[in-house]
Amino acid sequence: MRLKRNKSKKTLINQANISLENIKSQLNHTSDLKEREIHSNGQTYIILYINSLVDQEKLESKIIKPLTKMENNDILNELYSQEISTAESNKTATNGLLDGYCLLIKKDRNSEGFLLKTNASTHREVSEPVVEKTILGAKVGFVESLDKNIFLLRAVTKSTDFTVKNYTLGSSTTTNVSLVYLEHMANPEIIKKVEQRIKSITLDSIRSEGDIQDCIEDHTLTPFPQLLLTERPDKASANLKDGRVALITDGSPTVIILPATFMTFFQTPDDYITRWWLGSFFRFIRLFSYIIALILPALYIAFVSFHYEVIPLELVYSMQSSLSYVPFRPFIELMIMQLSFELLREASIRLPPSVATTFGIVGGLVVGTAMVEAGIVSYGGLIVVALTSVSSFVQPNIEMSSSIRVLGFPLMLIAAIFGFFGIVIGVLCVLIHLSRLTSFGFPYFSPIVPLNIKDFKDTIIRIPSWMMYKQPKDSPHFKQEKQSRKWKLDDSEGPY
Amino acid sequence: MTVKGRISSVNLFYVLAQTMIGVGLLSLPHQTHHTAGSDGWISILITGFFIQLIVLIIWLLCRKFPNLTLFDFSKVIVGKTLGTVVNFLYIIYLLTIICYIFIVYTDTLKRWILPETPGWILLLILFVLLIYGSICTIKNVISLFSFLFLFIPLLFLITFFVYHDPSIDVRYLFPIGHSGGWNILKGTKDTFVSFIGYETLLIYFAFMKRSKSISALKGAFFAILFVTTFLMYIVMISTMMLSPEEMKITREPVLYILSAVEIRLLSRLDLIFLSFWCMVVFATIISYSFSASMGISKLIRIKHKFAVMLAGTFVFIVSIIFYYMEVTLLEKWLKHFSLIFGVIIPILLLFITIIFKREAASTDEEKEN
Repeated sequence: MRLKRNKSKKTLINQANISLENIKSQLNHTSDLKEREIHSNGQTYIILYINSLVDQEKLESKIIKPLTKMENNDILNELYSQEISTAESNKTATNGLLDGYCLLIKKDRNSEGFLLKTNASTHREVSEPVVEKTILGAKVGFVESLDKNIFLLRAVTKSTDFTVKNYTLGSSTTTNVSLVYLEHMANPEIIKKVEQRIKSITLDSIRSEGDIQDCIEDHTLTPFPQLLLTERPDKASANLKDGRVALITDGSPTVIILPATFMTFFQTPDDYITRWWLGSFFRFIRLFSYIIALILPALYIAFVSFHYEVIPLELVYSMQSSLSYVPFRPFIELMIMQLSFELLREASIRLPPSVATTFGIVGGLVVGTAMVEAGIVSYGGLIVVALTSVSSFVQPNIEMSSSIRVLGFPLMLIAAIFGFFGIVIGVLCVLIHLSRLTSFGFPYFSPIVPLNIKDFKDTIIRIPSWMMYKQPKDSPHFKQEKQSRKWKLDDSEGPY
Repeated sequence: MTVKGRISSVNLFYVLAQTMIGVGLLSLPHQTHHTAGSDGWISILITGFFIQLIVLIIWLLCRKFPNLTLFDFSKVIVGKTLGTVVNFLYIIYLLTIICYIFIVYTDTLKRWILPETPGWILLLILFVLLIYGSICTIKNVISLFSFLFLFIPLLFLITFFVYHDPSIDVRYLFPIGHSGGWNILKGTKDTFVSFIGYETLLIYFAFMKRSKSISALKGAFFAILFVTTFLMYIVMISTMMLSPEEMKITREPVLYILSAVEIRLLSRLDLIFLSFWCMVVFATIISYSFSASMGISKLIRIKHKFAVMLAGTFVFIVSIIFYYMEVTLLEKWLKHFSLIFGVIIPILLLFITIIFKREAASTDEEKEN
């Protein structure tokens, strides 16, 4: 429950009914709760604030100084705080204090209370996002402050439709969450669903946006992420313009975008900056690499242990020469390699960058070559695992690429048992699973299942922006005139 | 119990084409060659035309009962007791088809790819796929089918590699019609089995958005046209590729001609193709089992989930019994069954409806409103 700013002064004064003692005891007489008495113009004022949350300078210059120099008793006109509101009850007063407001009370009547915004901000400056890097895109990333994130988003989405709705989640410790969308672009049903789901969260406390994600996603038993997490305002803004909804959590530099379909995880802002056929090509490469990373190890196992007649004869000979020294079955061989690679990956995440390079050389190159020479794995297996890992790093989204890890091992197992037929069965099961997933009621695997070739234009490929004038299914209010390249008609010379 | 309209005519096209093209395709040229010789493709054309007529009959029947499936309107037409019997028989028929697909596909897989794997394990996999694939809503089934349909043109594309082969000869097709008109007509009896699947229209028409309009029929019409052309093409290309002598001894001519194809990267196309064909076979199985479980859940009033499990278990047990007893009885039965359930019963039902002026109660209400 955030405080609403009342416009009429009358209601502001009349509704007040708070007691200082009560507030103090609610905050357990904590040591950083400070109280100050100020005499001005024949009145005595009490200022109550939490020392650690309040910016001393702001308090000094914007509240106390004007207060002492006040000529009449009209507080609302004399003080220049960013936000003034009335404290309607003890509860709103304490919540305000916890948000970094200070409480101003006239002593004599002990009934009028104002909350004045004086909160300290120790948030870092806006910097380039670390995880989602782009070549040409904006070099701005979200920070840990809710207000600043909304500012960043608004700055690139100038529209009267831009709507923010605030929620306070958590029962014992509270976290502020903002729902952001464009009024006439976003699907009202989805907004309704999101609101309903956020309101039903009754967690004791919110540790991070992951807790919210757990509570609002459609399916919990799936390796596929159904909410897009981004730390880039330009990406979030582009998604808002596509009719999606953003969810910003206070204290987190990651914004949740929803509903997300499978294909949204393969898009990057760079696609829209480079020329359209390059963008389409990169997108295609990403999709292709996803499939490669998913089934290449399984294919290797199937080909080597079942269907060596499928691969050309020359290749069989060269693979055979390296494989014959390996005492394990192809499945065990690949498992050893994959697991050791997972170790490398997990280890390198928390290493400082200077050590990580050395670690990569020792871990990847030295161990890999030594393993082949020691006869633990074959050259073929090493190539497959290396290609797989490179392909999994191509993915722009970390959560999507981790779904490969979860699905890859079962696929390898079933390929070891049934060969190529097993892979098809496995892939079929994944397809069935994907076809049933929804993200806020919207089919997750959307332009592919259900098949809608018209919607391929901005998912699998990217057509030029002036050609996107037909409505896609997932944003019902999208409209664009097809006039952007009309000059071409006026410009062109005839052949004669 | 009326159902909600969810399918467009495009969706109906996907569903019907997927249901009809299945495991029978692999051995179809061998079967047509048996009676009609090199003129098997003419038999298919005739059968296709015949099926169009039957689909028209089924549409005329379903048109009278919008948003009612066969399992509901049979009770309206022939009374409650007899209707239940008809429903029961249809469920058994649909389950028999699934058993047949199970056995034929397992048998083919065992002979071509996995010779050492015990048959019951392959049947078990198909059983698990059936259960997993059928426990869902009709919306899921339809959306999945629209994607799996892509694998059928894939086969079409693969056959282009065959033209590369030097042994292909158009003259195997000539002279057209030399096996005699009577033999060609007799061949339609064999090809009829590869067209089964259109009976599911008795159920799917109920889910159409506008089942009364002609656009509903259009989806079905194009699906049958597509299937007819596709089967005809497959039979023609097999006839051109294999000599009449070879055709007699190869049980799966389609796989056989693919095994001869050699691309630089992949030597044995047939093995990969047969695995991928699992997607198409799966779609067929799901279509039948979904319809059958719908019938079961309406017959004995249980949840769809349990109906699927019941249907799956029945199919699994029956197919294991038939698989190990090496009984080819199922195929013979199916030939007769498909005539009874696909042609005779729909025609009879239509006659009764017209003569006794049977109408669904819900349509009366609509008219009054």
